[in-house]
This record gives sequence, C-alpha cells and structure tokens, in this order.
Amino acid sequence: MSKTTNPANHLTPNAGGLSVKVMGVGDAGCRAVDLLAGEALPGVEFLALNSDLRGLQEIGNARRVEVGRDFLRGLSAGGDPDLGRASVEADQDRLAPFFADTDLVMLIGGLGGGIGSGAMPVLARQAREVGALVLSFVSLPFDLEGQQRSQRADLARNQLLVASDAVISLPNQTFLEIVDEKTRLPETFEIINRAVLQGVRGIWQMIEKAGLINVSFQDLRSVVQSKHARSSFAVAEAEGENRAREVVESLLAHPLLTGENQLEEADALLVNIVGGDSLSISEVDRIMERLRRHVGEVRIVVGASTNPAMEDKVELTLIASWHRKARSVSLQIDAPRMEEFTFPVPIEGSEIETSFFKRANEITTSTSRYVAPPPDSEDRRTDRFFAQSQPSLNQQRRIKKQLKQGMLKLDAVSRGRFEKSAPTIHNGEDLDVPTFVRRGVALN
Amino acid sequence: MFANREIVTGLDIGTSQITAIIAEVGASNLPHLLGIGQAKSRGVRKGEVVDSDLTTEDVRLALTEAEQMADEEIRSVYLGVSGGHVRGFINTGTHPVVSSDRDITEDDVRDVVRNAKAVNLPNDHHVIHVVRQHFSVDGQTGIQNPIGLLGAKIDVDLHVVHGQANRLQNSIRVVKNLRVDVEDVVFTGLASVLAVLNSQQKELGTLVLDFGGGTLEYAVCCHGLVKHSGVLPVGGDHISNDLAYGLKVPLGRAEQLKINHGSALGGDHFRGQTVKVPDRITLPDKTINREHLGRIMSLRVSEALKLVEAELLEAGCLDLVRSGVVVTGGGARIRDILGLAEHVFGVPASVGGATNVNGPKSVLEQPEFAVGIGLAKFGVFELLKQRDRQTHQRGFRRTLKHLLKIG
Repeated sequence: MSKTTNPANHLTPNAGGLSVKVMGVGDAGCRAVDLLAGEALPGVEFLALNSDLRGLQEIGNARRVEVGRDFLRGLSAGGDPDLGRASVEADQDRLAPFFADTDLVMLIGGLGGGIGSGAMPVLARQAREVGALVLSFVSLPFDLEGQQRSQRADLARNQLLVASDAVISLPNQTFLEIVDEKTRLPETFEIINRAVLQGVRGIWQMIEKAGLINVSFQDLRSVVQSKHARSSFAVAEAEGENRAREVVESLLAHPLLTGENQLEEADALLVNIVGGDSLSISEVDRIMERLRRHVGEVRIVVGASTNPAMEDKVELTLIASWHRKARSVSLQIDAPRMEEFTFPVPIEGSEIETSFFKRANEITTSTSRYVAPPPDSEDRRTDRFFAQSQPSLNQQRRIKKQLKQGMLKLDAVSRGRFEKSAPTIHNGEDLDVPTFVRRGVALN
Repeated sequence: MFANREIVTGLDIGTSQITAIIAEVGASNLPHLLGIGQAKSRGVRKGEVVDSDLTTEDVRLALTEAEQMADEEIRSVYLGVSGGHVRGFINTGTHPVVSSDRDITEDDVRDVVRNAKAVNLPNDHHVIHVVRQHFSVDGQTGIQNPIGLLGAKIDVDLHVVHGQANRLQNSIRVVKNLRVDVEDVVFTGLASVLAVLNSQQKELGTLVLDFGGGTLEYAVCCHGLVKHSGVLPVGGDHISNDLAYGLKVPLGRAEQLKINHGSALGGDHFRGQTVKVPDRITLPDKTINREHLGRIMSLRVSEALKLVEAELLEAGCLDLVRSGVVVTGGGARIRDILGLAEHVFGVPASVGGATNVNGPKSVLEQPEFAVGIGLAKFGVFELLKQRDRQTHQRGFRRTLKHLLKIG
C-alpha cells in the first residue's frame, strides 16, 4: 500500500507514470491477451499464464508464464479448479516479481475451467497484497457447457469478487444475442475476445490518454478500490448527425446491461467517450445528459478524448458497478447492529444535534451493514412490471421455451453441529461454516 | 435453619458446561466460595438455550451438586446470559447546568445520566447493563465525580449492554422451572471481567476474552471502567465442528483431537507428524495429519480473534488495550492460544483465574470457572450494597413501616 501512496511512483517518464499489467489466465485468458498484445497500448505489459505448454506455445505477442510444472508437467489442469489453484500457489514466489511495483493489474480469464477458476482468485489476492488495483475481466461459460461448469464459474466468480477490487463479467450466453445464426464458433470467440479488448482498451484510454476530460488513475481507484464490485461493461458506437442520441440508445439496448445488471441500480459508473476531431464538449454534455436520465444518484466518472482515426464516429464505453452490499446479505442479519441507527434522543443544546448528523453522515459513507432502500425508480419498475405481466404472444412462446427442469441444490458444505441453529452471519459470512472452507485453504 | 448465613449463587448456563457457584461474604468483604456444582450442558448452542427440558435437567444437577457441597439451599441465583443477540454500545447523554452559579449538583448528575439512559432500542430488546463512564464538564474529560465542580455543560457516556428480551427470557424460564428465583441477569462477558481482573489491570487497559464452548465474549477495561463489551457467537464447538468436517471424523473424536493434539498456531511445526485414532468401522486405525489439524484449528481461532480485533477497532477501543490480554473460559486451555493472542493484539497475554476471592485454589485457578465465580462475586457485591443501604435507611424505614401498619 505504501508504494502506491508514494507520489514519486507516478513521476516516472513512462506514459502517465503508471505501471499496468494485463495478465491472461488459462486458455481463454491467454488467447484474449494475445489479441490485446497485438494492439498498441504503450506502457502496458502483457503476460499469458497457463499450465498447458501446448496452449502457451501458440501465444506469440505476450510474455509467457508457465505455472504448476511440478505436478501438472506442462499439461492442462483438466477443468479442476483445485489443481489450478494449487499450480499458482506452488509458484507464488516465482510470480511475485510480476506484481511488484504495479499500479493496476487486469486479470483476464474464462471461468468454469481449471486454471481460470482456480488461479484467478489467488493471483488477484497476491496482486492486491502488494498494493495494486485489481480488475478482473471474466467470461462466464455458455449455457450449453453444462450446469456443473456454470456452477463452478459462479463459485469462482464469488471468490474473485472477494479477492479483487472489481470483477467485470461477460456472460458468454449474452453474446449469442449479439451474433447472428450463421456466425461460426471461432468467430464467436473472436467477438468475445474483442469485447474484452474493448473493455481493457477503454480503461487504459481513460486513465492514460489526455483528452477533453481527463480521468486519472486515482479516480478509477476511488471508484473501484475495495468495493468488491460486480461490474459489467458495454460499448456502443454511432456516427452521423444524431450520434449523441444514437450512441446512448444503442448502449442502453446492450444485452450486457439487462437482467441482474439494471443500469438504474448501479452504484458507480465509469464512462469514456472517444470521438473524432469533431467531438465537442457540448456533444459530450448531451451524451452525459441523456445517460444521467437512466441512472439513479450515483457516482459517475467521465472521460472524453479525441482520436483522429475515429473520423465521424463516436464511441461510448461504460463500466457500471454494483457494490457488494447485496440486499440479500443485509436481510440475513437477524438483529441490525445498534450503534448504526440508535441515536440519543436530542435534548437541549445544539451539541448533540451535530453529533447526530455527523453520525448519520458517517453511516451513508461507511461500508455499513445497514443498507438503505435502493434508489427510487418506482415508475420505471411499474412499467417493467406491467411489461412483464402482459407478455406478447411472441414473448409467451419464448418463456415457454425457457422452462426447464431445475437442479436440486445440494448444500456442499454441511453445517454439522449447527445444522439446526440460526446461522451466524457476520459481515455477510456464515461463521458456522468452517473457516478453512470459506478461505478456500486446500488440505492436500 | 439456614438463616445464619447469607449466601449468593452464580449460575452460568454455558454451551459446554453449566456451573453453579455458592459464595458468602467472607473476611474483609471478599467473596468466600462455599460450593461448586457443574454439569455437562446438552441443550445449549452458541450460548443460547435451544432445548429447555434438557437444560432444566442439567441445571438441576449443577445446583444440587453445589447445594450438597455447601450444605445450603439455593433460593435465588444471579444468572449469566450471553448469545449472539447480546450487544454493547456507547450512548452519550448531555445536560446544561442551569443554576446561576454554575455549580454542579447531584440533580445535574442524575439528569445527565437519565439523558444518557434514553436509548433508542427496538421494542423487543432489553437493556441488561448500563455501565457509566467518566463525566466530562465543558469538554474536560475524565472526571470521576463532577459534584461541586463549576461548569456550563456536563456529558456522560454509558456503555449499554442489551439483548433480545425473548431470548434472554429462555434461560430465565429454565431457572424458574426449578422454583428458583433469578435475582438479576448478568452479561457473562462482564462477569468474567469481575472475576479475573485485578484493579491494576482494570486501570491500565486490559482485554478479557472469555473463549467458551459456543461464544467468545470480550470486554475492554480501562481507567477502572468497562469501556466496551460484546459477544462473537463462535467458540470451541466451532473448532470441533471444523475438525470433524475437515478431517472426516465423528464430532466426539474431533473434540478429543482438539483437546489432545490441537494448537492455535499454524500447522507448520507439525509438518509430517501424524496421529492415529482408533476407528471402529475401518479396522486399521485412522491416521490424522497433525499439520491439517493445526491449520484448520489455527484458521478458526485466529479468525475469531481477528474479528474481535476488528470489532474493537470499530468501537475505538483497540488502543486502550495496553496492559495485556487475559484469556479465560475453556478456550484458554487451547495450546498456543496465548501466543496467538499476543500476535493479534500485540500485548502480553495470560490465562485468567479468579482473583480477590477466597476458596479452594484448585477451583480459583481454573479458567472454566471464571464466569461462575464472577457471577457469585457480582451477587456478593449486590448483597453488600443492600446491607449498606439498609443500615443507612433502617431508622427512617422502620418508622415509616410502623406508621403504615397503624394507619
């Protein structure tokens, strides 16, 4: 931590003075990072980490890092996250120099497999321990890859949420809505990798390039650090006269901003606007004005820059975060902590009044366990409710198709002796579950 | 028959054992232990009664044993309460001094305390204790007795311990079932402070950790006052449960492994060591890796201590813990727990036995009895307070009673 607070670190001649590392983990991550490394992003170091030597040999642009040689002997982890985790834990000393003196680490990987699911949380933790800001870009498996794989991915994503500052997830399934029927498999993956590329490039542009409106690394840090946010991102592009309006509309229609990721419930937004030389500040203002209508009272960080290569086009990149104060967690707490909302009854004198307000302010900014009701968007919700309750004929058909047999959820971790007592929820963790299980400590 | 001695009884309904301690006021007004009874507790989980019938049975056993040893009959007890619902927090009261000469009177002190007692709790919560902290007069802190000082405004902090009324009632009900009265309920975290700390430790800033079977009570004492206290519903049961789950052994076996081979400090120095446990199902003995045992256990214990540390940090009490940590309760028997506590809190740690109590040494030194002894001590102090009051009021009250009888 002390490293990053030291201003001298930001004074190195390297663009912006930041040291950014992009690390692809596992097969999917390596391929994405290989594609990224082909781009010109000065000041960014690309690493491809895998246990599979054959997969690693295909990587041409990024620096290759092999892990787990001792017991995987250059083979893949075969979809076993435990092996994936063990392979990086064994090589932790060797990996430490990669994270040393790094300000921002972006981990890229696919969840659901062995290395991606197992290794990414370990790497994220390791990078955060040396003071880097860790953003993880993960792709979640297609539905067709089976329940087991998607459950494994969910588990890994939850671990990653705890381990890294923000997790930006790209469910592969949503890309099926973007690509058309005829798109072939390699092209589909290519599109997914391009999406990751856009995200990484968007963040990099935001913090590295001087533009109309600058976003510094500190802005990014303040938005994401230690928030353990679930994030998603969307990119939209438009050109022509009405580009300001069109770009926002196509962004809002983006499939990644649907389902659990409702834009109006987001806690923080990072917006980057890149346009040709013709991009004016009033246009940026119009875009933001339109976007603001669709979000609640949230923190928005805006960056805008120009790039002559864009000509008449304008590109809008948006990263929305939902902080990890999930409502479900706050509901599980049986008795809310008293300090947080019991105040002395104001009697005489103004002194007590001020302390009351000071206290109240602290609550809204602290990571309190008492969660205020979500920002009001009643009209919108009613609209949505009516839209859902009266599905058109077409929608009805689709809903019918989606009905499928659910899977019986088997509780993997038994609570043993505490089976019949109320769970002990502390900061969103069930303390009755063995610590070593919650921490993911392997007993080999 | 029994009237020649005035006795008090402390009853601690713990998760792993129930302890009843009978004491009387002994030499130089110190409690003198007369009888000790204990029974294995079967109906308590995480410090709260979950099976009322079983617990009633167990409490009866413990009380009878103590009665036999002391040769006294227990009519009422001071009952220890705990559980995850019990919480402590600081509430502040303030009061402007209205008299023209700015002289602080007894009325002012009573008003400021009353203001501080106006706490806003949910309906179903009951205040167990209110511990008054030092006064501050016009911003000058640390005043023990403000009466007679001059000032415009006095403030006082109260440390309020409260819990859910229904859950508190459960254990009271158990005692009432046995036709025994409950004089008062006492938070076990404060009872252990009373038992194990000497006045010097209370003055310098000490953290008392009562590591019980189902709960971990903590209390910080500084400047002679309890500054903060609370409960973490994690205890020895959790360790056993973790071991049973992680080492795949029955709970009873896990309990034994914890006692005989456990350690609160990592598994590294056990690397390569194994323990054989007899197993009736698979005939060859089952081999347990001590490294795993140590690791599972140390993760759990250090997590619990770190949660306490975080809690104290949040309450702003961590820097008050300067003189040391005193570990008591059954958890004090965990090997290396003192080392771990020293590591987490950065101050010397020791095992707490009862102080300033007369009685058999073998009982006083055992950390398991600290809460029971603390409860009995609380009772003795209450008794002394009552006597004090009586001697002051006797004259007046007699007259009053006499008058009323006539009227």
